[in-house]
Amino acid sequence: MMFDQTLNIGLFNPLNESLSYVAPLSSYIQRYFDVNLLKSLVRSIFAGASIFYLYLLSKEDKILINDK
Amino acid sequence: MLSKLSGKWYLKILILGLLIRVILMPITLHPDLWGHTFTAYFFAYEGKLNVYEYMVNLPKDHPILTTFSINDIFIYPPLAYFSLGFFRLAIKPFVDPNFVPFVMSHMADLYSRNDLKLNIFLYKLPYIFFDLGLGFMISNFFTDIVKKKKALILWILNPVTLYATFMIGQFDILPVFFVVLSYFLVAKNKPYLAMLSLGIGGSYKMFPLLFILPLAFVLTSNVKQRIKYTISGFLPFVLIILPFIGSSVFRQMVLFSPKSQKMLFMGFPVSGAEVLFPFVILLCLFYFYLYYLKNKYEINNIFIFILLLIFSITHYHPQWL
Repeated sequence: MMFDQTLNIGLFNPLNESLSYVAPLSSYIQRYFDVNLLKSLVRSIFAGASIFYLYLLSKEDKILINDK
Repeated sequence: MLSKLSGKWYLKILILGLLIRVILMPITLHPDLWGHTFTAYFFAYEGKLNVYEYMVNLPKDHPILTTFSINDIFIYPPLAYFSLGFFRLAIKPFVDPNFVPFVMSHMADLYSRNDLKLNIFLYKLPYIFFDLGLGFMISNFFTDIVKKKKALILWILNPVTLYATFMIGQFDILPVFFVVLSYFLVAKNKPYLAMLSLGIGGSYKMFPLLFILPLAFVLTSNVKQRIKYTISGFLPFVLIILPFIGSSVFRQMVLFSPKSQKMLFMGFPVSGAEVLFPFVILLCLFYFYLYYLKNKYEINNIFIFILLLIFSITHYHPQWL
């Protein structure tokens, strides 16, 4: 979403066609950092958060079972 | 009608939500919208019922094939095609019939069209009804008026819905509507209708089908009853795809397309050619856990668990959120 131009600023092309020529964020980041590595890191952070909530869900379920 | 609405607790929230949507809809456009628009056009203007066979037999110089790869245009089950086609039929009197053919052949000149914003707006318009329906359904889960208001406000201002549905123009709101409807029907003690609702949702995009087995396991511990629920869940999906299942193009485009198998991208090799899929392993674990569970299980946790699993270990798209 942050890297593909059509998913951020490019969405507003109907307002101003020249927005489609705005370089994607990834082209700036690429100068300093491997974009795919950054994407993988972001995905991993989200995955970590999801797994944490999965853990909370299973914990909540245990409480529910113990209550019975 | 307006005087009836004026005293309602949700009026201000409704107006605010509609205003945000009406502003965002015509000024935002994602290229994926064209794939949906072109296929809806084939239904509404050319009366094609089997869009998969039709598309694969398009002449190689057809303008649509200069912009899209045939495997990327439309990879969704037939109910999605028919629904988008019906939406297109509904807006037919308000749009220029040459708009879609123009876009197909002159994609580069798209922004020269004065009616572009009107077309984008009308294309996304049917989603508003499902979106508002969802908002009211969610608020109806609560009896306390303050909680009702909070739930509706949260949905109306939900940035993910605004982004995926009204900016990108994806139709994920349709399967989501049927998933939430299923939960609503369980709460109303209508389990068969709840299962059918999941099957209808799965006939738009297939993820609700993942909820059918666990919901059947949680609703009852009786094996025969579980089988009946499971059949009810898969029935709408099977009936809808049945006329198409003989088509190898349909199977390749929808059931076994690489995009439908994104959940299987992560795999642990066990030999040179075979892998173990963590998503399938964890899903199986969850299904078995629920199958043998003798105690009560929160039904909304089923949906959350499977969705979190998807967001943990699969390659997902923004609208999946």
